[in-house]
Amino acid sequence: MSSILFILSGAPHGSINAQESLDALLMGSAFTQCSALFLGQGILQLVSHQETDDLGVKNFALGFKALDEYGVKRITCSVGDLQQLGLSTDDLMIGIETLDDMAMRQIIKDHDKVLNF
Amino acid sequence: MVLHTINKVAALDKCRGLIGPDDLVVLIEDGVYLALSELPFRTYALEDDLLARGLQHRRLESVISIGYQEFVELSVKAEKICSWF
Repeated sequence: MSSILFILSGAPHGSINAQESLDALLMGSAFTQCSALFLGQGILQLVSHQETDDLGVKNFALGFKALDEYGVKRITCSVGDLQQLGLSTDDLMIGIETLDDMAMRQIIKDHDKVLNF
Repeated sequence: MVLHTINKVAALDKCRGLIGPDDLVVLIEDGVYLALSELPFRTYALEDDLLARGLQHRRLESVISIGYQEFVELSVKAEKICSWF
């Protein structure tokens, strides 16, 4: 069975991409082993206390809390990008493994397929 | 070996740290503008995209111009492909 690494690198509410990529990740994990790597502005998808009611769009970020139940074992982000955004793991709604460049290259190697969003 | 495709200049910022010494980069679409500056990777660029943008003779010599046939061959050789956009 192929393992898939989802690389999520877009900010959450400016376009539909982030919501679509979470849907794809949840769907993929129903079939096979999936992991997530949040890169660059993609990390902003995980910022806690997002309130989208007044914007009139779905707060899809709540779905990230389901990743554990869907069996997504490794949820990771770039430590350099996290720092560059002025954030720490405490700002994020779920626990996350932080990776340096070397570890990110390794996680790409460790999966059979890579999907970028 | 991972093959990274880059289709715009700004996408390089996302993947710069993730491209290993064994990996290679194929510049496509607007990504071929990166062929004008020195990159620390084994770099190829799609000939049609270079030609369309007037870069075929302006690209750095270190960037290898390839056609679709060679692009497919490299893709088959690669363990996996990462698309950066």
